[in-house]
Amino acid sequence: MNTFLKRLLILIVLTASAMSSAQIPTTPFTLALETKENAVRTGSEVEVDITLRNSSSRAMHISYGLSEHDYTFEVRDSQNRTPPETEFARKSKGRTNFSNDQVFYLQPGESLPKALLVVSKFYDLSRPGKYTIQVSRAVPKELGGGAIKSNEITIVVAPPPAPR
Amino acid sequence: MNAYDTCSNSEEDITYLFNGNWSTANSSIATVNAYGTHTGQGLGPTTTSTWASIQQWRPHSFNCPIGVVRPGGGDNVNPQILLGGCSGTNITGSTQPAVVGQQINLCASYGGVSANSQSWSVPGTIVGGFTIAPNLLSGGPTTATLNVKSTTFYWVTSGNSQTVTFTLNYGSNQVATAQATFNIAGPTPSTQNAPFVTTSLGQAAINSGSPYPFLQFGGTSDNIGINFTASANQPAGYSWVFKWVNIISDDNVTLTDSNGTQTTSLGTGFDSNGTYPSFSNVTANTTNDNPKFQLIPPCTEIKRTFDAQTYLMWNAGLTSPPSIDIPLGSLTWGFSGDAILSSGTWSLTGTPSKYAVGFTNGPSYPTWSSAHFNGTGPACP
Repeated sequence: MNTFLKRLLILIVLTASAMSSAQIPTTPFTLALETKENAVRTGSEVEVDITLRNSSSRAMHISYGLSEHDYTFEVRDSQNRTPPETEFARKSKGRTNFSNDQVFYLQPGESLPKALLVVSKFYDLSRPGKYTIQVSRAVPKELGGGAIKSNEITIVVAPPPAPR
Repeated sequence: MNAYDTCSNSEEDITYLFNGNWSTANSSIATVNAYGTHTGQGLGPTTTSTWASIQQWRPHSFNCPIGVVRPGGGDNVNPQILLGGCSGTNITGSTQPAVVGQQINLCASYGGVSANSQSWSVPGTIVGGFTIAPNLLSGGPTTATLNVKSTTFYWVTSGNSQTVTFTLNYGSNQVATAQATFNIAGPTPSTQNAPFVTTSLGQAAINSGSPYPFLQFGGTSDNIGINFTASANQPAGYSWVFKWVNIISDDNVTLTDSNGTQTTSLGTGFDSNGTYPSFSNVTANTTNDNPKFQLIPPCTEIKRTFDAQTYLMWNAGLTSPPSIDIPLGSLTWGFSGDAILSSGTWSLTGTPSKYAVGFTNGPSYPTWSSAHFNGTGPACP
């Protein structure tokens, strides 16, 4: 291959690469998961706050309703197992659900109000140990579809204090 | 007191000459110290007197006559109104600024008098508080207690020159009063008699969902179920916030499958996804509601009828002590829809309905004794 052809090939590769990176769609939103208490006593409620932020460059409509309907969540113990579901979660299966929803029009950089999710309502986290929690939310079709995951947080469930 | 000194042809302040000679006729009503400072000890009238020897004096000679003067006067001791509790500030006879929803803690001070009865007269609409049970199952205003020495209340309506009167009945049916005036700020309609809230309605629709679609009133950017827009002239200097409280009067779903048809109430009362208020603010002065119900198998038809009353609340944003939410008015609204499953696809059947009755401004609080918690509904029959 002569020098000219080599240079041409490199130019084509670089141009294609640049075009490709320019066309990568930005994620429409990000999900930030946080908790006020990273360590709780067994039997306490485990609560997390979810913040959805418009990370795109355009305004978007997005709904804000009941957290357990808007988000799916994954909980794992230190052995990477899913903890047992609560009786409430088991009884909820096969039943309808309903909520009131507000539709927000988020400008780029704006966030929905923090959404509270009581994880212990759905999973039995009474066994002492470390649990990792991550939530995800389906992306509306008009925003590209798919799902976006949050960061992962760890919560330590401590055993009850020893009796004196 | 000034006296004319004929020796020096000038006026001289001789108040100090009365020091140590002051007395009151009834020290259970008023006392006076050596310097003439009076202190109320009880209620009612008494007299006060003092005396002094007055003599013009020149060094090394007494060439002017000595005289004794005995001035006196009346004392009339009345109660005082203290703002901020019984260790608060005396505001008797003054005008104070306030805002609707601000805690007003007034204490009457009347020394050691034994009261036969006492009461506060407060103009305008007031409440003793707005309480919400921690589990959200009940809520509403409480009544202020006004026949006590120290009272706490909150104004719900604004207005200038609102005079509070404390009346004390003591002794042999004697009456003493004290007054203080308040100018109460608050939001007012943007134009005279204009409603604080306007609405626009969408329509019932079948919206996609995971794993199942929803029968929803609105729910998409081009179809908002009910959109609320608040508008008011705001008082200056407050970090105010609007809040939206929805009280559901009727929410029934009728589920049909091969086993039959079953109608279930989803509950009445305070509409909540688990927190107060019912709806999050979408902007500082708008919100919307898009109630949805999941369409699950093996149901083949799901109908919903929904009626509610939405209150606009306002909070001045005071923190110490915290201000309470006050109502600006309410409106009723509702919708119905009927979804049917045919060939694996849900669609609306019949004519969905919707309505909203114009917002009425007023100071009536939402009151509830049950909650409509969103979450899990009935299973198909």
